[in-house]
Amino acid sequence: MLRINDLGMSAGNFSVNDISFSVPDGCCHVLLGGTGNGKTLILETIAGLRPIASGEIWNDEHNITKESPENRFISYVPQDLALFPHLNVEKNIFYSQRFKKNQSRTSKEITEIIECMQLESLLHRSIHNLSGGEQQRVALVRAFASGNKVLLLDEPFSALHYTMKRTLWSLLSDMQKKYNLSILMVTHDLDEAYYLADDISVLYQGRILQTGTKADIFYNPNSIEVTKITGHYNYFSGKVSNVKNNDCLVNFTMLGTDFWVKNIGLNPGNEVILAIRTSDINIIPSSSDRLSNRSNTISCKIKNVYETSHYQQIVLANDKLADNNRNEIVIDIYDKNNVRKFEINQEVTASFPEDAIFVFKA
Amino acid sequence: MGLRKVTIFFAVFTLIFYLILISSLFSFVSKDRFFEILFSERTLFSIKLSITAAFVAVMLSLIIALPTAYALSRYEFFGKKFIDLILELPMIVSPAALGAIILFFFYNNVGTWIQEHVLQFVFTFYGIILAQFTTILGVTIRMIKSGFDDISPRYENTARTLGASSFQAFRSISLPLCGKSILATVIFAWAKAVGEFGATITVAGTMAMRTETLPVAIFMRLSVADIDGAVVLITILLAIGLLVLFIVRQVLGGRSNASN
Repeated sequence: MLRINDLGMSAGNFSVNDISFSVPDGCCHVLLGGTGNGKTLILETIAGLRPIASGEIWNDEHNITKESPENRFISYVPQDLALFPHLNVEKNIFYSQRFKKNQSRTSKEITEIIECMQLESLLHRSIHNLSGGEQQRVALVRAFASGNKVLLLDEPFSALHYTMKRTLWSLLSDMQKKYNLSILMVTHDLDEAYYLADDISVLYQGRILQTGTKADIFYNPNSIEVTKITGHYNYFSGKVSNVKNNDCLVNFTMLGTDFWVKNIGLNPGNEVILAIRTSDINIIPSSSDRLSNRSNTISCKIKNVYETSHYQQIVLANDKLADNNRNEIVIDIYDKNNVRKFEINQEVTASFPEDAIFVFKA
Repeated sequence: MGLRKVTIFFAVFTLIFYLILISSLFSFVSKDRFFEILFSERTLFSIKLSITAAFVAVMLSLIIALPTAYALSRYEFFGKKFIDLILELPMIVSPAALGAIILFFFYNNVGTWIQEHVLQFVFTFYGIILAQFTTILGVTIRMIKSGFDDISPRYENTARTLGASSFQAFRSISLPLCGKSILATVIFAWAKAVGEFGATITVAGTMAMRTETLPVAIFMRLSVADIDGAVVLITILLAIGLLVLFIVRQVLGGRSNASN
């Protein structure tokens, strides 16, 4: 188990402070955050490659804060993998056996891992003659082979094709369960984070904004910044006009409508920001009366329709949005089995389900 | 005339300029006389002395240069900029002046004590080694540092997390990755030491069959108008220089694979 208590560190003018979380045995903890928010700095500090300014790092019952990297028993796979270019695949994988005769895995175990990761035929190849996916697998196997129970992975699959990523996610997940590893991983890829993570910490400007289970982070964000890091949202500002029990009525002038939202301790007159995922807004033609009589709906015209291989993106606009210099509402529809035909300038009704709306004090 | 033709013309001119200079050497000496001088006892002594002294000087400089270059490449520490600056000294100060500095050192109290109790440097074989060592140390450190600079510290960092101590990571990762640079540096520094003249003559003097390295021998033969002898020695130095350049280029052929 990896435990981080109030960790602080700096690099140049940038500092990271108050970092606390734990990664239990057999769990994967993902650090999510934009570029330059200190994710790699945290991994390098935990690995012992950078000086620590404050706090403690524990590996199981051992306080390793002041230990040198080789005595922390934590493997680190950097973003560029750092496969040793003068050693072939086999020598890279077995590198840790030169130094950690007692702690390292047995040759039999390493051979099993090599077979699991389908690297048997590549053992005598030069690192330079491997594809990106093969290099990723070698780097992971080398880290597993060290016998360290804690693995730090810095955007390990960022350079790979989606199909290859999916294969490696599954292999990594299998390995983690089999060897009961604690994995701390940095990624930008939300799919990857959701697939692999048990827990997630969201980093912003060198601080953790929210730590929790992946469901918490994705479906119960505690701030606007967290929504910006964990998904694609529409944002609208408004003012509370009425409060009733657990709900409150917010007037969104830029949408030209009032919505009922969950009350988060708001009072009439409070300025708020509404955030709703692009995939949570429902859309139907205005000719249908299925939604038009419900609350939290708005009439719009389709401004643009885009299609990717796995979702449709509909961009809506209306006069009110234009009047308020707010151009559009973006909706993503992921149901490829039920592709609907939308025309530009078609009149439609967009519905904002109350339980999908997040409201934050402005 | 296009740019391509103009620039190639100047490139070819450079080649012809040097070829004319070199070929002019052979108009002064016949083939038989050339080999007679080449295999004479005095010439063979100069060759042997130059090669031996240069080898020892390079090995000594390597012992100092390897850790120094690594420290300059990898760490930040007090005085780093000053050390970096002082490395330029042998490159910008005339070798004769450098030799004079060494000579003056051996006439102060510490230098005199060293001469009397440790080793006699002035006008001896050891003086040649010291002069060559002083001249090549800076460039040796610079070249090896550049080799370490080309190797990402991530390799060593990753090795550390896989269980290697800092020394083990250096020995198993950085040293082999820097091997080609180190080998090229050794060859280049050796050739530079073989051709060193100014500092050597100032510290070790011009004693025939004692401190007569190849460049000193050329100077001594020219000073008594022994043109045949000078031509043979110059040819030997040229051959060594060209051979070294060829080997260095071959060695450095595939160096860049560690600079991620």
